[in-house]
Amino acid sequence: MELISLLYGIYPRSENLRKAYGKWEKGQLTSKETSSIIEEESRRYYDLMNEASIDYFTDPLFNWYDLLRPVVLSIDGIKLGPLARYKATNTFYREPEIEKIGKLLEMNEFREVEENPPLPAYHELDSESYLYFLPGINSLLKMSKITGNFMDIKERLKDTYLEIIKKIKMKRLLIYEPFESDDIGIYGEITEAVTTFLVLTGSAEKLKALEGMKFFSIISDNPYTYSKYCEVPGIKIVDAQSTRINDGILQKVKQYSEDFQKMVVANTESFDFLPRVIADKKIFSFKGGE
Amino acid sequence: MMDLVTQEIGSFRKPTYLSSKFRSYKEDEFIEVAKKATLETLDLFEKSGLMNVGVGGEMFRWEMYEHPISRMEGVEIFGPVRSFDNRYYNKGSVYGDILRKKPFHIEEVQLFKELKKNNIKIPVTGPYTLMDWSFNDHYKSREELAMAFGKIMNEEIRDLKSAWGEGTLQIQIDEPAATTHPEEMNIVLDSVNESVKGIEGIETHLHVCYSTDYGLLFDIAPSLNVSVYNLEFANRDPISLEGERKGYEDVRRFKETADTMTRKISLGLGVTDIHRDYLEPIPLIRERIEYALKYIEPERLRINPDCGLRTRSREVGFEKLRNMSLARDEVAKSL
Repeated sequence: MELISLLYGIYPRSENLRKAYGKWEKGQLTSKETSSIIEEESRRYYDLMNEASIDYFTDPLFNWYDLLRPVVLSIDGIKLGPLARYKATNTFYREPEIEKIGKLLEMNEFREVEENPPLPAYHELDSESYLYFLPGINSLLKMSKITGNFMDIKERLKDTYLEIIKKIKMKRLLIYEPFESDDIGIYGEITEAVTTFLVLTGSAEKLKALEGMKFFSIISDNPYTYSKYCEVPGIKIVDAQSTRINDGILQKVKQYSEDFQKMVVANTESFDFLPRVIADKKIFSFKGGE
Repeated sequence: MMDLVTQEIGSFRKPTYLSSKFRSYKEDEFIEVAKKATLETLDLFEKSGLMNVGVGGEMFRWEMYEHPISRMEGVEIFGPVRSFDNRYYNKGSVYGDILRKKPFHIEEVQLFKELKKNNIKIPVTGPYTLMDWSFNDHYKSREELAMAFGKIMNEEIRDLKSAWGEGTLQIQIDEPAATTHPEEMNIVLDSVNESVKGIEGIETHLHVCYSTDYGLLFDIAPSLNVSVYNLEFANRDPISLEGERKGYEDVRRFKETADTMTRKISLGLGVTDIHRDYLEPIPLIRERIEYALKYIEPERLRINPDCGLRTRSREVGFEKLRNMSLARDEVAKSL
């Protein structure tokens, strides 16, 4: 069986970047200067991915203050609410308050935004390994306070995602649903527009909605559930909640070798839950390395 | 016990001379500087009218998690992990059996003994929160790790009591994570009880903030060896006067739980929001206290900020405490 490694989500920031943000927050560093540092740090991350032979990786999202923020800050009609706990962790995000989905603002050029480091939201790498990242529509809505019409907002959000994909000319996109999703069917048009990796949490009940959709990979806790709805099934297996390096990945995926010729091996959560020094080691463990 | 005792919850903003060099002082020098900061903070607390002064604002501790964790064997801190935005904390990895290398807070008790102060309350980090905020790379389950932390906290509290000597010592177990996994309330119960098991001469407080459901806590209260529950209310209450005091509805639920118990429990009522500089006016705090008095007898009600005031400037912290004390005095007069 061929293993394809995938790292998605926010990657932990280096000390250099954390200090830079500290200075930027205190007004000791301009947004332009900060933006250059984010760019440099992103390039270092890409070198690291190359060194660790990671087959696919998302943007490191170094200037995303949480999984939602640059996206929701780029859509008229969404405001930032109070801090909310992310799942049952000791990590918090700003709860979006959505009245409507308005106009899409520029999100991939230099721009100062309130309560987040400056944009662009992505620091592209011209490589087939590079994936753009968007938070799952179902999870974004679950993590938000909705004051407008839910179905309208959901539909408009999907249209806005299509607009983002088109505007940025995305070739490959990873969508991450950190919460259980009840409507995967919403991604139909998106999968037609861009090569799509979908990372799911829990198990979707309405599998019929997936019929005829063209995901490149659906990554979940159980690769059998979605294997017939994608080219390559995937499993979330590299533990982002443990600092132990040797997770015995090969041993764990061996059980699937008779059923799948190829399989995507991915992290269980953003590596942002790990100290940077551990994350930098753990990326070598995706195919059973160190 | 006196009616409506005012109390600090724990942390208070450190003076810059301490915070700016906290990690770079040599040990002897650090103790002296931390003592100086404690005395200054005590003075400020006393001027504000505060009755119970805690440990003078936790000047010996950088942070509630890292302080005990860095004094244990079997745990390693590999680096900071993000809490939110660009805020980080040093999250420990438990890689072996955990042991206490040295007491965590003994120097604070010794200082207060020297000062002959007895109106103190010592905050310690709770075993469940220590477990929840750590990587568990060694113990078989979260429960096992929480119980191991419970045993360590038991040793610590025993040492604090021993250093204190005669007289009741107030210990406050801080458990901000207590209600974050509703299915694990049994672990909260067992590990907190383990922390105080067999220790005589202490009055145990439990401080829980960041909770969205205190009902979970009230459900286990009859079996929890805790006498005083110091909880936050102000940050969920409107600031308008003569309102319905919506943020304080859990006081009634607390009373319902207390009524089912033969053992008496008390409530520490959070009356000032520590997340913002807004200075709650005395009439508003008074209303909040009076609301709680509809359900709780004055000798069972203590008055405190929602949580530690470390996120506010020392000036704002002082003003908040002073208004709290003045409001308490006005209510006490009318009793």
